[in-house]
Amino acid sequence: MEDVPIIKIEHVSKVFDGKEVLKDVSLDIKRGEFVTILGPSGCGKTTLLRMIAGFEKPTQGQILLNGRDVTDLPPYKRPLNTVFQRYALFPHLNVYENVAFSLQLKHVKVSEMDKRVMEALKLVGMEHYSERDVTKLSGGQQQRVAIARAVVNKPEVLLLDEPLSALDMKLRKEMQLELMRMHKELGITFIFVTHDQEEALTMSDTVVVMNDGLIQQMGTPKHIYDEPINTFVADFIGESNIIEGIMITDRLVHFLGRDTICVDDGFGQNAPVYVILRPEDVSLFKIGEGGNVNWFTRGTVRSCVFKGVHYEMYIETPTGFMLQVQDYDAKNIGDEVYATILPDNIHVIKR
Amino acid sequence: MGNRPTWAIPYIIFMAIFVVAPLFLVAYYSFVDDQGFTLRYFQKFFLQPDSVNTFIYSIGIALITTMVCILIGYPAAYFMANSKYGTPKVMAMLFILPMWINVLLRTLATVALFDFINIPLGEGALVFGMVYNFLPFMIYPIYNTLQKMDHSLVEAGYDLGASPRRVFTDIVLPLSMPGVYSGIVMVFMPTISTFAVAELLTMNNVKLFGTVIQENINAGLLNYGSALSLIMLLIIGFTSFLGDE
Repeated sequence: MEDVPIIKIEHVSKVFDGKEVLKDVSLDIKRGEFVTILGPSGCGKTTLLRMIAGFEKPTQGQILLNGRDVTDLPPYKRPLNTVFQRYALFPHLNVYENVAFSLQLKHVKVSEMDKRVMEALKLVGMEHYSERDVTKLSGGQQQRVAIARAVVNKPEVLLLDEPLSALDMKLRKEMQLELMRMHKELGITFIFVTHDQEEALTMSDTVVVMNDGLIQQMGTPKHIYDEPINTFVADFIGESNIIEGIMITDRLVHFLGRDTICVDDGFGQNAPVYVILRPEDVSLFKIGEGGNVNWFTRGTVRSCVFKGVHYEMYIETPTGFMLQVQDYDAKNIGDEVYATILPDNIHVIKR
Repeated sequence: MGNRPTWAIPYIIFMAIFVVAPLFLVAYYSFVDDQGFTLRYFQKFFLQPDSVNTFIYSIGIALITTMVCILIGYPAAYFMANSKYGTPKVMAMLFILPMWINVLLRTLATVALFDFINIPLGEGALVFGMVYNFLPFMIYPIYNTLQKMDHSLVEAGYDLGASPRRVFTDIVLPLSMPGVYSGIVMVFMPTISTFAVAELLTMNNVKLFGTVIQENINAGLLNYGSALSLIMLLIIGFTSFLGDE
């Protein structure tokens, strides 16, 4: 049982009105993981989640739950629960009745139901609100009730459809931590859909990056951030400088008009590549100061904006590229600088 | 601009003359005779089994009409709210189309149609005619609440393990009750005071309360007619109060 993925998506495609929103997607989700499906709007992430929940049927392919084919199983027969984007609390029921809804359907005994509802409300810190009218709660409180309602039935998988997108920044950060705590406490699989890459990197064990109906890359947050597989992922996850270059030979790449030593190999001779540089990996030295540095390009500082912790600067290189750099030290606009980077931080992908 | 209350003046004058004043007159005539204040018109009503029976009968017909309108109107509204593409528009059009024609003309046409297909006029024809006339007033408010309902509530119901039947009884139905209530008020109120439609569709065989009021006033019994109108207004007021709850 341990090694059977709790959810297995096999070659799933979905066509809406002639438009293919999912293109032959396959994905295994391990039991107990916190998985985030990340992508821009329209990438198919919500459709994929709705298929797992059972609200949409794949045009092609299969969805397996614990190794059992559930492709044609209606949502009310699946042992999963969803936290909806706009909460979808029943306005004619109070907090307690909302949370108790699924238990009532199963004819759970009143004493048992009381216990489980209060447990679920305690998990989300809403145990003192059980008699409240849900329409009178704040967005954050409604969110918590929606989570309690979804977990009260002890689902094997909790699906979360951009549940934090309607909250303000501070509350969102707070809820991210709360969700991570709940994931640990409940020990069940969480599948979380979001378009917010920071949210995905913060919370997940595994991030699935989607674009254009396809899974672009899947891995731990660190792996995806450090080793983006293509320019879409590099661009979508965090900030990146994506520069066209030529891999001259193993461990030597030509970009921004110069040959630079890197650690990548296996591309062959003179292969066209993209070079990806994270702005925070680049350091700047004013020309004439700091002596002998191993620079990959020189340039002129064109802008410098304070971003709270660091400064964000744009450097125009002699080839006309605008290089984004993040540094703790500000440079003056118009300064001539050398840009350096550790060879290990130069990331090369095939063009 | 900024002086909004002045806009309201024409409406206030209109309502004072055509709504408030007539109501006061009705109330006034109900309680006076040559000697001054009296309750004898109300006494007369309650002592005449005929009038009371007509009154109860009218309420019965109005209740049946309202019930039939709910039974036919709710599924229609539900279907319209849940179908995609152009179907609801076409259906709404079909239900509303007859309303382009005046009620009396439409009723006359119904009478002619019943004659033509040899269906006897009478109580059944009356209920049919009233349902036909008032059905749109039931469908529309229900359709409106159903259509505005957040579809994710239905999905949440399924998600939490409710079968389609339970989703309907536990979520959709209770949430659409406000529409049903306004439908009830909009159908029950006018049906209770109908008279012309009843006369036409029953060849004057069935007498509704509206007819009794009309006959009394036509016969010059203004005070008695007023008292009857007041009783009817109280019933209507009571139902709309229930509808607001």
